[in-house]
Amino acid sequence: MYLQLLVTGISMGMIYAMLATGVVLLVRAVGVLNFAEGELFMLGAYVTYALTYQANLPLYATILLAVLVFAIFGALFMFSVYWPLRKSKWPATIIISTLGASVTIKEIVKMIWGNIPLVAKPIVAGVLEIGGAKLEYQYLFIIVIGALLILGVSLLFDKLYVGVIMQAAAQNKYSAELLGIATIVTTAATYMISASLVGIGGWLVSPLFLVSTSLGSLLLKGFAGMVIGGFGNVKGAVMGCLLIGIIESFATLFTTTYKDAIVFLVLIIVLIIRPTGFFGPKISEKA
Amino acid sequence: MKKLTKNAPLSYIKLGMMLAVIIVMAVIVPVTSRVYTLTVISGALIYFVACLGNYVILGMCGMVSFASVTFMGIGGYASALLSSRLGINSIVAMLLSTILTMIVALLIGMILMRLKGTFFTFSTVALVQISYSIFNSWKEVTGGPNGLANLPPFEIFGISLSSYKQSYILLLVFCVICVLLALKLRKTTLGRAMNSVRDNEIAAKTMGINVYWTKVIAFAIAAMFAGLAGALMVHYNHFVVSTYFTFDISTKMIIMTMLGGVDNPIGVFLGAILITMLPEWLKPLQEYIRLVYGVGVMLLMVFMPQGIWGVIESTEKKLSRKFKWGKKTVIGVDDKNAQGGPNVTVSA
Repeated sequence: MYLQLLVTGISMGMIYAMLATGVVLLVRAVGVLNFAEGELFMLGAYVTYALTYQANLPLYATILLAVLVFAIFGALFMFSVYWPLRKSKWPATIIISTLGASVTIKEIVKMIWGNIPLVAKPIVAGVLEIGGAKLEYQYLFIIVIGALLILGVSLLFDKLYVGVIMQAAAQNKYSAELLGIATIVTTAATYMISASLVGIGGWLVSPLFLVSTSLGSLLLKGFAGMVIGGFGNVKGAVMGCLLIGIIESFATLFTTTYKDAIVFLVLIIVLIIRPTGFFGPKISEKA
Repeated sequence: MKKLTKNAPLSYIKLGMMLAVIIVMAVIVPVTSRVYTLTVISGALIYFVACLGNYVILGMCGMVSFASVTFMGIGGYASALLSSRLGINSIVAMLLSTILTMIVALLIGMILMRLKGTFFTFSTVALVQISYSIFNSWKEVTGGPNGLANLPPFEIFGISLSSYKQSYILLLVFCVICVLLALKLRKTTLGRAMNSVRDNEIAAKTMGINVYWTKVIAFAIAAMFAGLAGALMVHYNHFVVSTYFTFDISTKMIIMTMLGGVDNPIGVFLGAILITMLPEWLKPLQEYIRLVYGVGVMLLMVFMPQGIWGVIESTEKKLSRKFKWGKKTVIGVDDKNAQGGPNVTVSA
């Protein structure tokens, strides 16, 4: 029973972590909080559903095509929501613009696939039994794939040369351009990676929930995890999200109606105890 | 950018515009429009009162807060319960619940204001989620998804305002009072302290402003407006249900505030009216209405990030340069810098 809850919690946490990582990448690269990340996530679920059940493609083709679609959409997203506003002096404009984008994407999806939630079959069917605990393979699959992807992305950004270029462009656009880095390309690449990551997250989660436009609301939990972990770093975000997932899953032991309230209550309590999150920056704000 | 003279001719034009808006709203709208239109506009007015809270916290104090909907809920349910279960006169109940909301907000603000910028924004998002699940699940008190029905209408001096027109006029009176309060707040020491906190927190601290308490009080004042709006909404509709207070409504109100121009109550008013009326005007588009809305918001941020009021203000600047109105009185910053970013103009 407890093992089952733990596994469910960790796998949901992994989903939130993928969302949070996608957001953190954008925060680090362009300093923008993306409220439409949840809709990119939902789009991931819909696109893979269409490719699997409506186009009847095999698994590998689905994944390849889907990632291509996500990357293109990420670039499109950047050129419509971020690029025209990058010189705006008020950061709130970009936040509001992403809110607008989230409504837009939701409506486009509704127009194409309709209002009725769609049902997707588990990607890996079957149940693993360990001493009375029933673990669905789908949950384990999510944990493995999610962990690999997040690990890959963070390695890319921290260790590889490409990642270093991207970070340089993120930290100081002006001097990066002086060094000959095309910041437009690195920014676009960051958006593409972010969109692909959450898109795959949407694919993974689609068998657990119905494929519907309300999937976007999972982003709020991702945000919560991100804040608990400490804003703007991947390690903290993943830890925070796993914690959120586990708390949420164990909260069902006591109450189902107030499950969400408990999660967000934990968020506020953490913020009161440690206002910068557990892995937050150690230096304070400069003048 | 500071205008030091009090009588720039254009400020009279602005004043005239404000009076015109009030006259149109008070006389022409109730006479000419049908009951349905009137209820829609009343809805806009109610949201406008709540958006004034956003104006205080976002426009004056520079903090993005999604919490207004939570306080609308607290004010609304408090007023509903006070008037229906304890039989208190509805106007008194509204005022009591507004005060109650303010006290609750003061306590919550004391906790949340320990957080900076984005963290604060997130914690308000969390607050909205918590309050919604409480409103939705605590069925004995709030009625949950079924709501509380048959709430008493507005009642002044024993006269119950049951018709929509009468309630509309009362709403308008409340709106005018709230606008005057908001405008007055701007001129007080507290209002100026809020502006300085928005522009540069550390500089404000060096000037001897208690940043923390300024923010907490701004939060409480914003909540006061929201609480009043919630109470107005409850008594206007004679009904309250948990779906009035979702996160979506909260983003809608932020967009209203931004669309009109976060810098000025009149701008906020235009935003509230526009966002509420747009679905009515675009009825033929029915299915695509929310799509138009989403794309509209995105385009708006590109082309007029300061909202409608920002556009009015910059046209005014252009005009005054053309006709040399009050040119000598403009001090400091060149006009290029004055574009974009929160406007710091103190127009007399």
